[in-house]
Amino acid sequence: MTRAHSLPLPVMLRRRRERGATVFIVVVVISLLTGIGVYAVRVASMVDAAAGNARQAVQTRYMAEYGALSVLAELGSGTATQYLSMVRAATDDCRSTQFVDVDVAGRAPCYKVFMGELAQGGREFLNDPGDEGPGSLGGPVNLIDSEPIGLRGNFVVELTDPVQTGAPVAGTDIGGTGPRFEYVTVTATSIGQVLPADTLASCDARAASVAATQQIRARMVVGPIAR
Amino acid sequence: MTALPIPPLALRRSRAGFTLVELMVALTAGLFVSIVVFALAKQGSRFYQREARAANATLANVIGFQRLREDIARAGFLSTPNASRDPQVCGQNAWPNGALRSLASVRIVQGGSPDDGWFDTRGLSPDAIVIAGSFQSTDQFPVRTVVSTGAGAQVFLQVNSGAMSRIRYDSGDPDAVELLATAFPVGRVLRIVDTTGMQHFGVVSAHQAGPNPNITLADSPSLNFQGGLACGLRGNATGAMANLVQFMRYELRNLSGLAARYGALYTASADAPHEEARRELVRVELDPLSTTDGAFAGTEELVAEYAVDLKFGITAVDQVTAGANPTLVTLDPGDATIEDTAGDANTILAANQGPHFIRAVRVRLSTRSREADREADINAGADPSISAGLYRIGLGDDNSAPFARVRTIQADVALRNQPRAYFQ
Repeated sequence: MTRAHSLPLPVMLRRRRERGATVFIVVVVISLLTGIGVYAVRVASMVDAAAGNARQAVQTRYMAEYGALSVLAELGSGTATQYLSMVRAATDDCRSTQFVDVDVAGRAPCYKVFMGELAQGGREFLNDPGDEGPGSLGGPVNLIDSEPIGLRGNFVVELTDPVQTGAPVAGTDIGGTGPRFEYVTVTATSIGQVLPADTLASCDARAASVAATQQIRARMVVGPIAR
Repeated sequence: MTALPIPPLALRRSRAGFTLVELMVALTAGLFVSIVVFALAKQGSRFYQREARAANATLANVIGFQRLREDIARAGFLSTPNASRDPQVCGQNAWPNGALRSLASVRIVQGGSPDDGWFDTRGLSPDAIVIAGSFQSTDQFPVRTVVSTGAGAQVFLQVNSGAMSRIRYDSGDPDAVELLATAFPVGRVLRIVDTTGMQHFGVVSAHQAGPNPNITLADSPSLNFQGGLACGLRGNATGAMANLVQFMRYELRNLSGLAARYGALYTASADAPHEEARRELVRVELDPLSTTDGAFAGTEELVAEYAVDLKFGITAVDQVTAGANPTLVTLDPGDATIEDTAGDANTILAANQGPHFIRAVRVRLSTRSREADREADINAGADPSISAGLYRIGLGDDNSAPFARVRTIQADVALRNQPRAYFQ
C-alpha cells in the first residue's frame, strides 16, 4: 500500500536521517525555555524577598523609635523619680554597658524597660496577628491555607548613664533650705525587633535567622525630680 | 523495489513558494512596518530616558535633602545655641576669632556658596549654612579630673563608664590611643559641662591612652578655672561631662579641585557636554579656629550631584517681652533680614536677635538633570499661570540653551535642641 501524498524517497531518507537533530533541537529549546522560566521565577522571588526585607527593616527602625518615644512619654508622666532610682540601683545587665569592667567599677547603672512592662497599664502597643487580620505589622501569608502568619514586634529600652545636668530648676530655692530638685540626663538605647509571629519567643535558630534588629540611641533630660 | 508515486502537479504547485511580486509586496509592507515600529520604539526610548533624567534629578535631590535635613535638625546637640549670649558658657569673649568664637547652632551665610560667575550669570545666589553640634556621637564622657598645664589643660576621662565602654576602650589595647583619636579628633572642639551646668570649650591637640586616658587641650582658647573667672571649673572638675563639638558647612561648589577623589565627575561627554561646570551640594567640616571658614582637608562629602540652588529661611522668636507670649516670625529664603538673626552670632548685638531665637530653618534645594534636553526656558515670571520658581537652567554661555530640567524641594526643619532658648 502506498500513500497518495508520500514524499520522494531521497527526501524521506534525508528527513529520516535528520530526525535525531529535530529531537535534539526541541530538547535544547525546551531546556532553554525552562532555564529562562526558572531564572524569571528566581528573580521575581528575590525581588519579592528584598521588598519584604526592606519593609521589615523599616518596621524595625520604627519599633526602635517607638520604644524610645514610649519611654520618653513614660518618664514624662510623673514616674521619672522611680525609674531613675531603678537605673541607679544597677540591677540589670545591659548591652550598652557590657564592656564596663564590673570588677573595678561595679555594675554600671542601667535599667531595662520592656514593651510588656509599659503595656501593663492597659496600653496596647501593637495588634497581634489573629482572626481579625495580619496585625499591625502585616507580614507573610501561609502558602498552604492562605492564613496570615503576621509579624511580631518588640522593643527594649536600656536607660543608662544618669547624669545631673547642673542646670538650675526655675522657681526652686538654690539656697539649700527648701526642697532640692534637679534635671537628670539619661541615655536611652532602644533596641527594636521584628520577626514572624510563628517563631518562638525564645531565641531559636529560625527566629535568629529571620529576625531584624535595629538600635537607636537618644539622650533624655528628665525632671525636675527631687534630689 | 517499489518506486514512490510522483505527487500530483497541483500539490507540487502549492509547495512551489512565493512569486517575486508576492515577495516584493511582503518585503515592502514589512519594511514599512519595521520603520513604524522602530520609530515608535525610538520615541518610547527617548521619552523613557527623559523621564529617567527627571527622576534621577528628583532622587538625587531627595537623598541629599534628607541628609541636610537630618543634620540641621541635630544642630545644637550637646552644644550651645549661641555661645555669645548663653549665660551657661564660660569665658567666650576671650576666645580667638574664628568659627569657635561665633559658635552657634546655626549660621546662615546668604549668597555664601563660592561663585566664579556661573551662578550670578543665571540670576542665582546660593546660600551656605554652618551648623554646630555633636554630629559624631550621642555620648558624653564622664570626666575624672581636669588639670591645668599653664595655658592649656589635660582632661582625664573616667575609664569605666558607659560612654568609654561603647567605644570599646581598653587601657591595655595598643590601639587604644587611636580609639581616643577617633572619638576626639585633633583640632576639634571639646565641650565640658561641669556639675553646675556651666559649659567650657577647648580645642583637642593630643591624646594619651593607658589606664589614665586623657585629652590635651590647646593653649588657645584656654580653659577657665575658678581662680581666674567665677564661672571657671571648680576643684578637679570631677563629675563633669565631655563631648565633641563639630562645625559642618553645607554649600554648593565645584569639586574638580579635588581631582584624585572627584576629578572623573567633571569629564564632559557627548550626552553631557557641560560637566566641567556642574556644582554639587557639599558637606565639609570646618576648622573651629579658622577665621575664613577653612575646612579640614579630606572632610569634603558630595551630598547631592548637579545642585543649582540652595536657599535658607528661618522661623524665629521675634519678641520676648516679660509677661507676654513670644511671637514668631517667618523670614522666607532670600529675605535681607535673615542674617540679623541667623548671621555671625559674635557680631549680633541687638536685643531679641541671635541664632538662639531660631526655632526652625526653611531649606530649599534645587538640583538639575544631568542631560540638558530642553531648548527653551520656562519664564515663570512672565506667565501668570505658572508659579514662580526655578524650572530649567541654561547650561550654555550666559544661561543660554540647552536647558536642563530642575527639581526643587523645600521643608521647614524644627531645631529640636533649642526650643526654650530665650536668653538675651
